[in-house]
Amino acid sequence: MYLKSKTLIAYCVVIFLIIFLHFSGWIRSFESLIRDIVQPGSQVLYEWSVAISDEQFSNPEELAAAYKKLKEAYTRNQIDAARLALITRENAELREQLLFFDKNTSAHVGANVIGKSVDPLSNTILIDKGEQDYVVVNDPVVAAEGVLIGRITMVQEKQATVRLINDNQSKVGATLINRERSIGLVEGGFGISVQMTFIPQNESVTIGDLVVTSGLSDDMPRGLLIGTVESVEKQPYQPFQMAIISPAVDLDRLLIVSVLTRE
Amino acid sequence: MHRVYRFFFGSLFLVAITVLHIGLSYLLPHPWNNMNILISTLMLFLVFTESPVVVWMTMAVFYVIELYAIIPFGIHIFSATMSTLLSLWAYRYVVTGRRWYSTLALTAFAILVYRITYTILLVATSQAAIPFSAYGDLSIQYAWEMLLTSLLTIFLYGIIHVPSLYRNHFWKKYAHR
Repeated sequence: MYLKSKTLIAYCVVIFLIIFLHFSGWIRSFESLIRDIVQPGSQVLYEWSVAISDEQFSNPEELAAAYKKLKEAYTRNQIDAARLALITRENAELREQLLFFDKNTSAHVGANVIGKSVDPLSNTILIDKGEQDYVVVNDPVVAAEGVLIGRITMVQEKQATVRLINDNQSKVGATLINRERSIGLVEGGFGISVQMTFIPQNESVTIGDLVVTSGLSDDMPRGLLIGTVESVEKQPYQPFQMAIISPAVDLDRLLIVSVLTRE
Repeated sequence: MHRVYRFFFGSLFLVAITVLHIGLSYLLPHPWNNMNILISTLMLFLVFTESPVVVWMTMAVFYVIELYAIIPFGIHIFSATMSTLLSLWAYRYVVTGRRWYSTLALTAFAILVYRITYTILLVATSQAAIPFSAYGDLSIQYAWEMLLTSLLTIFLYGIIHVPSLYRNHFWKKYAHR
C-alpha cells in the first residue's frame, strides 16, 4: 500500500496536534508572527482591490453629472446637519431633565481594514486593531458616520475579525423608522443580501424606510443606521413580513472603520 | 546546508502563494475570484514530483488560511489534507501517468473532496445552519471553483511542461550529434 496506515495516522496526529496547540494558546506568538508576515502583502492587495473597484468615469458628462449630484447631496446634508445640531441640543437637555440613563458607547477606536474573508460561506473583514486596543468580541463596528457594518467575532493581539451584517451568521435587533416603529431582526444571507425578518404582518413597511439598531441585542447601542428598505416580501398566510435591506455603506469597499469599545 | 536552503525557500514560496491566493480573491471579479491557487499549485507539485511532501505543504498553507477564517479551527486543514491524501492515492493507483487530462481530473477531484469534507464538517460543527435553498448557490460557487481551478492548473501545466518537451527534443536532435 502506497499510503501506509502508519503514515495516515501520523498525518492525523499532526492535524489534531495543530488544532490542540491552537486552542491551548501555546502557539499564539507563532500565529501572530505568521499573520505579521502575511498581512503586509494581503493589505496591499486589498487596498488595490478597493482602488480598482472605485467609481470611474468614462466621459466628462458622467463626471459633471456626478459632481452635480454630489453638490445637491452636500446642500441637503448641510441642512440636515443644522437640524441635527438643534435636535442634539434639545435631546441633551431632555435627557438631563428626565435623568435618562445613557449607555456610554462613545469610546471607540479607529481601525484600517487589512483584508477580507476568502471563505465562500462567510462575509468578514480583518482590521488592524485587537486586544491591545481594548477590542473585545461582540463590539459593534461602524463605518462612515455611525453606520453599523458588523460585530467583532474574533480578536487576536493586534488584529480582529469583523462579521459583517451580510454574513449568514449575523443577527442584529433592529427598528424600522416607520409609523409603528416596527421591531425585527436584521439577518445576513448566503449571498450579498441583508434582510429584516419578524416584522409583524399588520405594520406598514414602505420602500425607503430607514432601519436602525433597536438596542435590544446584547452590547449593541440603539440608533445606529443599518440601511434602507429596498423591497418588502409579504405572504398573507404568514404572521410576519420580511424586508430586503440595502446597507447604508458598500460593504465591499471598506477601508477605515471604528470599533465601539467598552473602555 | 542544502536542506536548510530548500526549507527556507520552500517556506517562502508557500507564503507567497498563500498571499497570492488571498490577494487574487480580492482583486479578481466574480466568478474568477473562486479560483483556488493553493490547490492548483499543490496538484502541480504532486504531478511533477510525485512526492508525499505535498501533504505537509497542504497542511502548511491551509494552516495560514485557517488563521484568517472564522469557522471552527481545523476544518480547512483537515479537509485540504484529506483531499491531498486522496489525490495522492488517486494519482498513484487510479489516474497514473503525467498527462494534462490526468492533472485536470486530479484537480477537479481534489476540489470536490475538499469542498464536500469542508461542508460536512461545517454543518456537523453547527456553525452554519445552512438553509436548504442556499445549497444551490453554494453548489454553483463550488462548480465555478472546480472549473476555474482546473483550467488554471492546465494552463500552468502547459507553461511548465511544454518548454521541457522542447528541451528534450533539442537534446535528442542536436546535443548528442
